[in-house]
Amino acid sequence: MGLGDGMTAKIDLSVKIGPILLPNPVGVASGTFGYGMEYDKLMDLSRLGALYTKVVTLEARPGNPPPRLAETPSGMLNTIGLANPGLAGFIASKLTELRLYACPIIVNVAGNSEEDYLGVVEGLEGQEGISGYELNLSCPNVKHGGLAFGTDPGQVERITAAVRSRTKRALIVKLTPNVTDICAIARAAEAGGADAVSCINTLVGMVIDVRAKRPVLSMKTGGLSGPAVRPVGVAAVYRVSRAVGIPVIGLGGIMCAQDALQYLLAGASAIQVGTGTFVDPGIPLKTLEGIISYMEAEGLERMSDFKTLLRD
Amino acid sequence: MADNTFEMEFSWPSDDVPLPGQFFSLRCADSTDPLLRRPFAFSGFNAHSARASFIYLRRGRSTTLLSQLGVGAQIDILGPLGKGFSPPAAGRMPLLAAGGIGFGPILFLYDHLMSQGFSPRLFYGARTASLVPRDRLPQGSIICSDDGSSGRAGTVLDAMVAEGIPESASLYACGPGPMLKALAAKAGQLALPCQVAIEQHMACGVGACMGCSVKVKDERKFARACVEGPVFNAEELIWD
Repeated sequence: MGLGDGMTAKIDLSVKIGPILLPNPVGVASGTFGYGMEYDKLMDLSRLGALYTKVVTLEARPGNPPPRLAETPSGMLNTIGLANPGLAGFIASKLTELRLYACPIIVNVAGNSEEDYLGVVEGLEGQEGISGYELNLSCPNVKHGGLAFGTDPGQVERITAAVRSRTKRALIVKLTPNVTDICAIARAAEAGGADAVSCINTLVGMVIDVRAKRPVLSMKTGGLSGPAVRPVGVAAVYRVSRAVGIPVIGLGGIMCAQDALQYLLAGASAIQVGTGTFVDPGIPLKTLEGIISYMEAEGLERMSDFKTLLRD
Repeated sequence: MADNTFEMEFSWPSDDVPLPGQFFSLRCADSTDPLLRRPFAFSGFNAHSARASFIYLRRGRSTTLLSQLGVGAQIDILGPLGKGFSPPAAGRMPLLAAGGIGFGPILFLYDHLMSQGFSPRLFYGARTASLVPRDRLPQGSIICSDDGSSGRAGTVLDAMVAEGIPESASLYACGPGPMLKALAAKAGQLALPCQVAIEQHMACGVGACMGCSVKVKDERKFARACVEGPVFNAEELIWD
């Protein structure tokens, strides 16, 4: 980790997440970036603060039938279905190239039982080049009534603690907004030993084709992302960052530095760009440049200087 | 060139030359609504003038915005993307089938094959006469329409069968799903090579999001229209 965007003349952009130091606060979100290769030629990955990979589940998953996408006002729905090559496929065909990128690699993990999550983490512990794990808890726990893991604080604490006991790497829990009290979920993740939480994952949405009289998506509903959800994400970060002591990584609809700054002022320690990358692959690095300009203009010297800026 | 049908030409900035069947993704507005880029297949490329073109149907907000752009406007594109058509094996006779707004990539393929010394035959089908881009179709094209208001009444497949499909034919098609499915079935029946260029909604356009995946017969189960496609061997695909 050299200087580059980590330091300008007086600014320290680094962000501490548990045992690791991200070089800057701008990451790219899981599900929007594959395992890096697809954007390799469109963006200088080495300048990113973090790369959150597409999910890895224990077994390979083909994903849902099409249609998997629907555009909505200032947003989009997806029902990709966690399509991924599985743990073995990830190690065999994705990790080799992924670990060549200079930015920290955070592997997103999902499963349908606690054993699934542990299986992936244990399988990756022996692999080099991984800085941490981001737990996707939006999946149904098939062993406990099919409710998403991430909707029950008890389950969140249990699964976080179980994963925590298996790794010393950075452990981030990704929060779903589709809950009554996101702060309770965040506190559970913290109690379980998470180094940070990321919020928010997608909201549940639906589009109906009025002419065909049918839902557009194959799975009827999908996850809403993009600018439409930004205010939801900012509110979530505002509340969650006041409910826990661990860093909060903000994401949801960030399209430019101004959006990222809202999250940082709300209490986020770092951010992720997701859907924005589809619109313009230049957005993540333009966002970083805009954050730097703001810090220079405001006389901020380090990322923690954002914490006390908001007047509320 | 026909009802709500436009062709746009723009200067191509790089050495990465587009091939028939490939596409690019266009940011239609500097706004969050419409949010996503739109994919468009190339309808032509002139290496000397370094100009690329595409044909589109004005039917929604994005394409309406496009149709309002004036000469000299700048556009934001990502491309060339995707897998294009492969040439026919030596000695095989290219039969090209275009349906509706799918004729862009087929026109590009036609010009390309002509320049390579092949003698392609083009069949074009539309619902009705007002949709037929007469002036843009090459001489010798066989035109058909569902309602018989232009050219032969019936489908492109009807026309191809009526003309006779030689054993040495290599089929290429781009058009509505039912047309591709029917041609794929015919090609399978006659054991002829058949490549189809499909259309899918896309988000990233570069293979990262897995949003444009289509069903395939092999163990992959799905393939990305933006990377493994948009051109596929017809026999690879599962047709709904």
